Amino acid sequence: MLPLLDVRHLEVAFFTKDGVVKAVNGISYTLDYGDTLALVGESGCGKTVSVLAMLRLLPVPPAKIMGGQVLLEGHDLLRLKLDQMHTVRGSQIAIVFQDPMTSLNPVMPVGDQIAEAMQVNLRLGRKEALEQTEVLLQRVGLPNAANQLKSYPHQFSGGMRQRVMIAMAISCKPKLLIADESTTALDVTIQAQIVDLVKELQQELGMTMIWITHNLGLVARLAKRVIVMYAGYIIEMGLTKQIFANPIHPYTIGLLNSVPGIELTVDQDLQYIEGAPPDMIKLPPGCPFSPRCLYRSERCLTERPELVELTTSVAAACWNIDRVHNR
Amino acid sequence: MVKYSIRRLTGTLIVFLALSIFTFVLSRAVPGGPWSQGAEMPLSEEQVAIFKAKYGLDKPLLVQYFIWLRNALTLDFGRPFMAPELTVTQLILKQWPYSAVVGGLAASLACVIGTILGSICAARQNTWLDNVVSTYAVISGTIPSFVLGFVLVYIFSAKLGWFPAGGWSGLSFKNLVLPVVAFGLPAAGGVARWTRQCMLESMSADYVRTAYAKGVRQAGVMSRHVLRNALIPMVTSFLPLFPDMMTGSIFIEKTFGIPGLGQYFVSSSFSRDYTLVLGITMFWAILIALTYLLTDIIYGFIDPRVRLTRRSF
Amino acid sequence: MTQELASLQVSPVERVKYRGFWTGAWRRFRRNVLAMYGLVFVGFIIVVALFVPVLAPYPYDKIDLAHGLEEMSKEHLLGTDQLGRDMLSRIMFAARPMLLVGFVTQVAALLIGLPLGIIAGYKGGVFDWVVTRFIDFFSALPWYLIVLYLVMVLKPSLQNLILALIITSWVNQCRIVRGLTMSVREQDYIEATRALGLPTWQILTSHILPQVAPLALWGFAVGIPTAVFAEAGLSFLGLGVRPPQPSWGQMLGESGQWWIYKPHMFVFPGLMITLSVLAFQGLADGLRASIDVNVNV
Repeated sequence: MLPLLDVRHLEVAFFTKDGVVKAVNGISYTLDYGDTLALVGESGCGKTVSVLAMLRLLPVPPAKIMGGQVLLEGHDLLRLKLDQMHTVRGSQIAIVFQDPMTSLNPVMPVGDQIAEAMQVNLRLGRKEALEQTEVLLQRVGLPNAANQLKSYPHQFSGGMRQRVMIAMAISCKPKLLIADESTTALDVTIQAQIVDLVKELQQELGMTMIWITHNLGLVARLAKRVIVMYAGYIIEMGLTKQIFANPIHPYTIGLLNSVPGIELTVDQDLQYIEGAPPDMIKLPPGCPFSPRCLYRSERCLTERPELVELTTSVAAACWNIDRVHNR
Repeated sequence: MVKYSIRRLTGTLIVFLALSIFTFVLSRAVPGGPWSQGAEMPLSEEQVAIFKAKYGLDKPLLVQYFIWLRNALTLDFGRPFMAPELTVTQLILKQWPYSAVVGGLAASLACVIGTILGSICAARQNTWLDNVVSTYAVISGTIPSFVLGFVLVYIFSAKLGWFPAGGWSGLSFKNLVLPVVAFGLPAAGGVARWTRQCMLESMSADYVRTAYAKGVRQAGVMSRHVLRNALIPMVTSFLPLFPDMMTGSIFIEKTFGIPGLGQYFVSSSFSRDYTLVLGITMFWAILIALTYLLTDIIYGFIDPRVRLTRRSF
Repeated sequence: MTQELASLQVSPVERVKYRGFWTGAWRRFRRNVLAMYGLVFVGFIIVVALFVPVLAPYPYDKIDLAHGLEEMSKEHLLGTDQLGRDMLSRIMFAARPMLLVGFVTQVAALLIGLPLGIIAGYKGGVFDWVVTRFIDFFSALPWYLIVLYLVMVLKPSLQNLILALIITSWVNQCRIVRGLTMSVREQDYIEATRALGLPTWQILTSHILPQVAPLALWGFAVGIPTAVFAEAGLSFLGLGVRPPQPSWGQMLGESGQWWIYKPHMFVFPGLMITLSVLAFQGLADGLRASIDVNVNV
């Protein structure tokens, strides 16, 4: 059966006056219907850029899609003309962005903004769209839906604004929903509520989901599969349970170790990964993680490791897996 | 809200008062009077004394000022010395339309041309078109209106004969074209640059990305999201152009011989015709203050963030 | 503990060469075409103004009625005016009052407006209230009308023009400096200096002044083309530089009766005014871009 999403060797670069930033360097993965995938990595590792590239939302200078394919139900989104993309955006694939304050139009009533999505994608009339909007607002947990249709974003709190964004995203029942760091800007308690809400909606509407986050706790709770990215490369991917229990790549190991466990005591140090994130303009020729890797060898510095399927459920890109795991 | 308005109103009134005192004091305190500045017939001491008595200029300064103030509050601004057939109020109302028409049309021209040019630049950012139009905007903004006036008259009146070169002969299309263009075109440059900046800021905002991500197409994004937001800072910059240009048309009036209020301001300052000067000054100050107030109100109207935030003062 | 810190291996970070604030500023300035034009042009004008007695072919007031209103020729490269005076020489001499007005007024405006603005913005209270009233007062009418009135009442001359411009220019400096001071004042590190017990005088000079200086500098730079424009405009109306001393605006105004027949009388002065205003604006814009002043105060 055809996967919903098939990403093949996606490459994205930014041409700036300081040099070429190689943001996404040949990532490939597939997503089946109903899957929940998490894209994990540090800030700047390319997770958001890869997703924006799929929807062609990147500003084309300075960004440029250097190669690859993104097949949505068999159709390559990257070969579509830019003004044909509106048929995909919102109706097939929807995104919930990170910062709801700046992501909402400050001078347009919230109801109109949600209704706009339906008017544009589902050809609903204004009245009908607003009626649907009221239903949606209630569904996402906004108590006073009828009044709030006419309210403006600045009149809402952060959590409420994010609910509005979610309502907007699911309004046209997209097949794929992408949550780009949607909870990062929120309080921890609100985060939990929002996450639960999205999970419920995913079940109800039968959506496939991609969660982009650097919060590993969320990944463990939500995602069946996880992709770990570093410097624009996928360095490990597979079943979440497997990877969390038994991480293969040194970066993943470091990442999981750095999350302080609740049993940590005062006299124990916090674990961290040595070094700093790489300069995306001047990436080392070999493995991108090699400058910071405790297990590096000569080969790591010059040859880039390919992603290798180690079992049916896990793949990793590292030359020294044996050494890492003392085998 | 009411408290805030009252505070602003009192502040404005204080400024008016200060302005009237300033104008009055300067015009009376510096020696000279309507009889001595470039007078055709120098008056004798006696005649000066009679003149002074007639207009109450021999009374102490403070008294003179309060008499003026008392009258002004009833909108009686007295009569100008040089042309006592009309009251100051009548004179202002008679000559003001010329300045208003020229200034108003010029401001309109500046806004229309500027907005169009600025939008083009923003839509085609960093292309050769953007660079050319932006450069043109900068240059046209620096040519003083009176210089441009000369150039235009030379080309279009003297050489091409499209417009009358003889000077002003009343409010007519033919007479208005050159002054309005000379006055408005330089201002259009500034308007264009500001429009471009506002549009670009709006275009690079996150909510524009959200709109595209929703599936809205370019036309919809530009009109409902970009323009709607860019208009707010744009309008608040454009509205003041109108009172500014309606009161500041002096140079154009001199170049084209338009009998507007600016000319009278110059001549009455020169001849110490203080009733007229005070009248014109107050008139302009009130006009400007009113328009700025209007701008504030309009701004509060079109920006829901301002409109719906309860401000406590 | 210190022993352990000392022995920590830190991964070497590539040292970035810090070239200094002004070098960076100069590089950014250099990239701005208009700014470079401004620099070159203003430099050129300054040189001309300084050496004009030597450079000019004729004195500016040499009347030669027999050769009045002549077109451009070998003896008179830019022609003559109605009194037979050489246009080229007059244009060169006119650079002096322009530069004088531009620089003197803005330096004075800076010296008055900067301290007043900082103190008003920082202290607040009655002093600030009074200063704000002044600012409101001078904003009630377009500035050039106030200048116009002042000059006319005080009797038109170059000195009075400069005086009038100083009086209106300091207000703009004061306004922008005050605004920035007020927002800088709210920053945490200022509160920290107060907590440290630093005297107000030192807070103002060592901490607030450096933050405000770029904006004040930009205000200075931007005020020059405004002052030049004012001088041109007022001289055009006959209220600035007194004849026979030449000024481009004045020459433009005087050409009013003959320009239809003799375009050289208005073209050259007009061109010089435009080019100068453009040059100074270019400099101001280059300054803004190079030291990254946020001018949305």
